[in-house]
Amino acid sequence: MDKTQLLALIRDEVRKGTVTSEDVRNALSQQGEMSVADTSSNITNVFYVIGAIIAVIGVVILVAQNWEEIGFFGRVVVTAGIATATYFGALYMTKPHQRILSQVFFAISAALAPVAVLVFLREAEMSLTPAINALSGFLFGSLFLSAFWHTRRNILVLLSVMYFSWAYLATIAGLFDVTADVGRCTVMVLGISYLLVAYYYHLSRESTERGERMEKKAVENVLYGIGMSAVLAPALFFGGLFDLLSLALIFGAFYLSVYVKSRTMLMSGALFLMIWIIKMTSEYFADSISWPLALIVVGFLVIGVGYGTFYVNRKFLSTKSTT
Amino acid sequence: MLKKHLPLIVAIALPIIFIGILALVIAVPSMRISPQHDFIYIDMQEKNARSMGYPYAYIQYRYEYAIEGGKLTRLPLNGRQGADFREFPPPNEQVEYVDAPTLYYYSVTENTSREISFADAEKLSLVSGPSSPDGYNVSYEYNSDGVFELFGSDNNSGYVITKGTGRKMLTGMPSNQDYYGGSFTLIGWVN
Repeated sequence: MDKTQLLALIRDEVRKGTVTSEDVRNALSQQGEMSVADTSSNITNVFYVIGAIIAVIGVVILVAQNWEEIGFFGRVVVTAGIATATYFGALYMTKPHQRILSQVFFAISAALAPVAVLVFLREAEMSLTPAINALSGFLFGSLFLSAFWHTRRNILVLLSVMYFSWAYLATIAGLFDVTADVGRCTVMVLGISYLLVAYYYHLSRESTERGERMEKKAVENVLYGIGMSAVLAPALFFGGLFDLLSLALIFGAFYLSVYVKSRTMLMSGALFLMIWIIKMTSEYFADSISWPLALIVVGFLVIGVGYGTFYVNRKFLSTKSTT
Repeated sequence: MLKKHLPLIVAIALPIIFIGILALVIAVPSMRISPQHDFIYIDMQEKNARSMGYPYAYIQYRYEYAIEGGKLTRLPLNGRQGADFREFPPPNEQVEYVDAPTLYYYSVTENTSREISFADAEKLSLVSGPSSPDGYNVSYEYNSDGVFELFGSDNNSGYVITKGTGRKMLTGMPSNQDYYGGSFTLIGWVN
């Protein structure tokens, strides 16, 4: 089949409706080809994000510098007002080309919502108690989750997870005396939840559009990275039997990274294995084998971890579907 | 259907279950904390304050407290080296001799602390510690809330009365601000 025949075949199939012209473009973009339109769209997206960051910083400075001058009404307008306007604005941006802009608007809304809570509390001369923290976290989490159900924008997964985490931590801070051990367990449980949410999101991946697929991968990566760190970092600080158990958890992270094909998780595991080696050496061996020798051993072990990570990555994770 | 959503269900359920476990392990036993015995203690903070303040004074006690036959007594130290021992004692003019540390009475039902004279204290029937007859202990706990302070958690360092996993802050202790809590010494539980 020559080039003319092939193009004629594609044209026929598009006319019949077997495939759409967008499917063809997506198939090409999956092979790493990027059109001029894609490039200009990416530049536009960068401007959206930069603009959002500048706008949020502007609002915070405006409120902080002119707290008294703008009055309560002014403070409410620039915080709760903009947060509400951007939230509903983003909800109504449902067209495919508005995907990034709507997510930027959701991010602005999420950043300003807690500032609005502080404005209301200040006006009511109330302090930020754990109950108010938990209630705000739950309320905002629910709002962004319902927006996710409506729009399926990827950033809303992160925003709702962030606010529900806020509610969870505030609930524990309010109900219990948080000793160091309770604090560590609290963070570890949150980390496991993040990993499960990331895995669920990984399973539910169904988009064929390149940009959206990349967003979902990014969301997964963020959740896997934070989740794994939240599980492994507190485990390193328990001491005693946990010194061994944390090593088991680190190897568990390696196993999971292959199972869910996540390079981020593999890197997190490698990072914490290095920290574990340095911590154990300084705690148990530095005095007996002297510091300089301990440093040499640690150095070679860290090189070994680096090579092991490279090997696992190449052997098990270097596929196109890896995140 | 359930299997498909299982990771999400577990992700949501896990924090809720954890809060439930914390409630069972910490909150419920703490709710059951109901000590019946008041206690008498001394607070060495006054001595520490003088030895670090200006004008400097090193307080030397003549007596120490003891419980004999269920009653409070004072035993002369007579140069015996107890907790006050110093390898290099200060010059004599800087030593201030005091009979014994001030006694305090802690009411566990009212959660209040007040000074009590030795004459009043020796009339009480006492049991030496560290545990009370109903199994309670008093100790100092230093807790840093760390990241949880962002969410409104109070720094809950201070003296606590504990039994098993249950604990309750002794809010009436005057030396709750004592950073290390080393100044508290329990003398005995009121029987």
